[in-house]
Amino acid sequence: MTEFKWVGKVVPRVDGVEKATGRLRYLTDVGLPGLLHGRIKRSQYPHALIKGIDTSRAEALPGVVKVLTHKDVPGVNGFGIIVPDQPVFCREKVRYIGDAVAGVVAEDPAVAEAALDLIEVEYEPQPVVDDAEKAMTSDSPRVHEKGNIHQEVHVRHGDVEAGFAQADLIIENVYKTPRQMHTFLETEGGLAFYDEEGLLNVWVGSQYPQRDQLQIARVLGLNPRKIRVVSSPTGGGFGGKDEITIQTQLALMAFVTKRPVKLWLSREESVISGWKRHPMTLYYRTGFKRDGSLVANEIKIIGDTGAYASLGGPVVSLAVESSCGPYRIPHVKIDGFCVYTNNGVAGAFRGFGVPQSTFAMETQLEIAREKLVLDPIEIRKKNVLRRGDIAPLGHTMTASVGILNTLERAEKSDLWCQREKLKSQTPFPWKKRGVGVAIALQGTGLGVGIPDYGAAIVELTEEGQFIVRIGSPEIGQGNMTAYAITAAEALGCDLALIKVVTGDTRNSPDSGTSTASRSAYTGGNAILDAVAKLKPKLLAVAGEMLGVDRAGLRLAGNRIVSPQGRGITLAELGRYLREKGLEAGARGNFVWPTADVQIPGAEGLPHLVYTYVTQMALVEVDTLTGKVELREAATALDAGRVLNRQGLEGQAEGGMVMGAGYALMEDIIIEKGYFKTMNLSTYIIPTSLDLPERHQVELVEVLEESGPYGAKGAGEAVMVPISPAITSAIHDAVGVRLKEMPAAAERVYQGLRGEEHGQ
Amino acid sequence: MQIKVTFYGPLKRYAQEDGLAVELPAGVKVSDLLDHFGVEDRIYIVILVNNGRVDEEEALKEGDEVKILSPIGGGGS
Repeated sequence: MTEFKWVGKVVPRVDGVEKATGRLRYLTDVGLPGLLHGRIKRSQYPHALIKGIDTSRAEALPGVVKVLTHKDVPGVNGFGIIVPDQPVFCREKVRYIGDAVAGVVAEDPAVAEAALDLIEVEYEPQPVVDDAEKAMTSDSPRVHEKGNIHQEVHVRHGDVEAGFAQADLIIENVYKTPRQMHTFLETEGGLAFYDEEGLLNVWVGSQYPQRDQLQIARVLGLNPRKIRVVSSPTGGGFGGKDEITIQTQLALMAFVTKRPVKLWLSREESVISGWKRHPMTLYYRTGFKRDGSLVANEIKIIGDTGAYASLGGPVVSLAVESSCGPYRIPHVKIDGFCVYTNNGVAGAFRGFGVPQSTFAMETQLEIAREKLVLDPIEIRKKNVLRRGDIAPLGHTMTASVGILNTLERAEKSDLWCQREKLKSQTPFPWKKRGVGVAIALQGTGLGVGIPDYGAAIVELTEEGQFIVRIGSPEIGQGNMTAYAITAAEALGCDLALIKVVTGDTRNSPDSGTSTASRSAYTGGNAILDAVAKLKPKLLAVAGEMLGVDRAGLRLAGNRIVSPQGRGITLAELGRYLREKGLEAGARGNFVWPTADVQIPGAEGLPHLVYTYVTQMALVEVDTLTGKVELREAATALDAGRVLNRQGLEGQAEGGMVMGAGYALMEDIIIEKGYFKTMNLSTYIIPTSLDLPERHQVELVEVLEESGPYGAKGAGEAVMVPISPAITSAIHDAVGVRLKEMPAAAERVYQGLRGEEHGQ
Repeated sequence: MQIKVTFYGPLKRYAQEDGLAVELPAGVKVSDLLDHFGVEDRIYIVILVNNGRVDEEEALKEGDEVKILSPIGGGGS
């Protein structure tokens, strides 16, 4: 068994002290001399034509420096990762209530706010498209001229009707999932200014500065090299800062005024303008043999992407990919539609379409299991994918597959072993307890179609430190620590000697986005490539300095030593390299391996490398009110080799809580295009009081050969199956089978009454 | 000199074939290669040479493998 010094060990977060002490400031709290303040004028209607914009009264207000509209955009008036269909400032039409119509830059925030009210916009309201399924019909009003279906994905594998002909049981249901909000701690915001080199700096909460740089350049009509984007390591993202939030408007404000500008969104503004998890409607028809074997699945998924595409197409694609769960199903017919409406905007969010379809598929399985009188673990063991299997999308599972291992580990958890005892410990007769289990797979990386690349630069300084530069930013998920561990292990030096720089287009190479559970895997592989190039060079030079053969030399702590005990410090080596003009660093590159087939029309589908997870829940349902409490949870996770044990456990805990919130309480309500849920007084997320008394986390290391030291990704999968585990536990407790989330008290109560009345 | 070029995603309209062999004069840059294919959008693209990202000013050499794509992938996290 391989012995590691750093990999898998509990180490302090490399960015922990400065974040915990508050030394690292939120961007919202940072100021600059001569700072101007930006504000955005948003739409008055969810769908309307713009007949005129009069900014004269706002411009006349003392303290206003500039009022911006679409006329001030020098390049493409649009942004969007896939298609730039969202205007920086709307010209002829608004498509949701958060659309930006104008911007104000003023000397004072209060003046900027006051100026917004002085901007007069003449609208001609249009019929509101507020139902994604109706939006697909030919007689629906159009959100975009090209039509309301942004993207569709179709998977055909096997012969689905022949599959259903073999089935002893066919389960057919419709599922609906809510519009979850990322609820990051710091709302969208940042600073833009010109530096002494003439670069337009945009410092912003971002998950991919290099792509922001290109999107800003496209809007400003500038060479990207004239723009520097630096990501804020505070505030969080969860997918909500993968796409442009305020970057293009902020950059334009500084570009036009040539002065530093701050723009940040209030929580209410963040709610109405920001990205959300796609609400989906999922039609399932699933065929089972009497022994529980899955034989056929016919699925239609409709995702409401709101007014603009962003990553809605890939989100629906991933919902399609995971719609059969981590199961072998020989005959499938799956259709996915990503549809425009006037319901806000939806985009990337941790899980990226997988939570929606996992809820549906796992509930289908539970309904069948109950009818067939089968054990919940055994029916899953019977159907789960093994390495070498053909997946429902038709690709071969050639990478590591640890779903069975997670099931076996979860089966031994305290929660499962003691479930009958735990269920019997209800404090009051009107409170009923139940236990549920669910499993999931989550594709990691960007999948097949577009090369998913990464890069790292590792260099030795004159102070004897190693600087590791990787573009994929640290946004709270802990990738800096994973990078440091990987580098220290590969170099053989002390962890304290590693300094990590991420998220800066000038000082760290493009390593792709910090999304898709990809950054530790991608960056880690790029680091290993860089170290493989750098380390022999360092040892060779050290050998010259010491007058010994390099073959026996090794890095130990902060020194390079020979078998005879002679050595030099890394600082001495670093200074020598500089003095001699020798290279002290190396660049590593990496491109992900991909699956052996590709689904036409769906960039990224399928993936090759997946993370697997089993989660269990013990809930307590108040039969008088319908309120559900999560009392215990268990997670068994196969993310490959554990790089950062504490970080991975933290991800598992945080993910479970986010998934529990999705299952139990979180939903942004929009009616006829208007937000009814405006802020955190009505959008409720779990607090410490809602957390279970115990969450057992088991890390199942099924090594992935293509990963750094065998690691895969973990950030998303950990939030996925807990939701159907909770809804299954509710059914176990009180017999209410929910096909729509969240399992808010009202919905559970209605279910209880319905069943009591035999409906 | 000969280099190999692959376009990805929507940019495949410039060349369908993966690893298309292209003969170019010695000393050309990536921008010359983009001119060769008539690539119009020069801002929202990513160019990888031998799997490392470069910009348009990068000089090409014999045997280089060039990948040209839009940064259109994403995920949750």
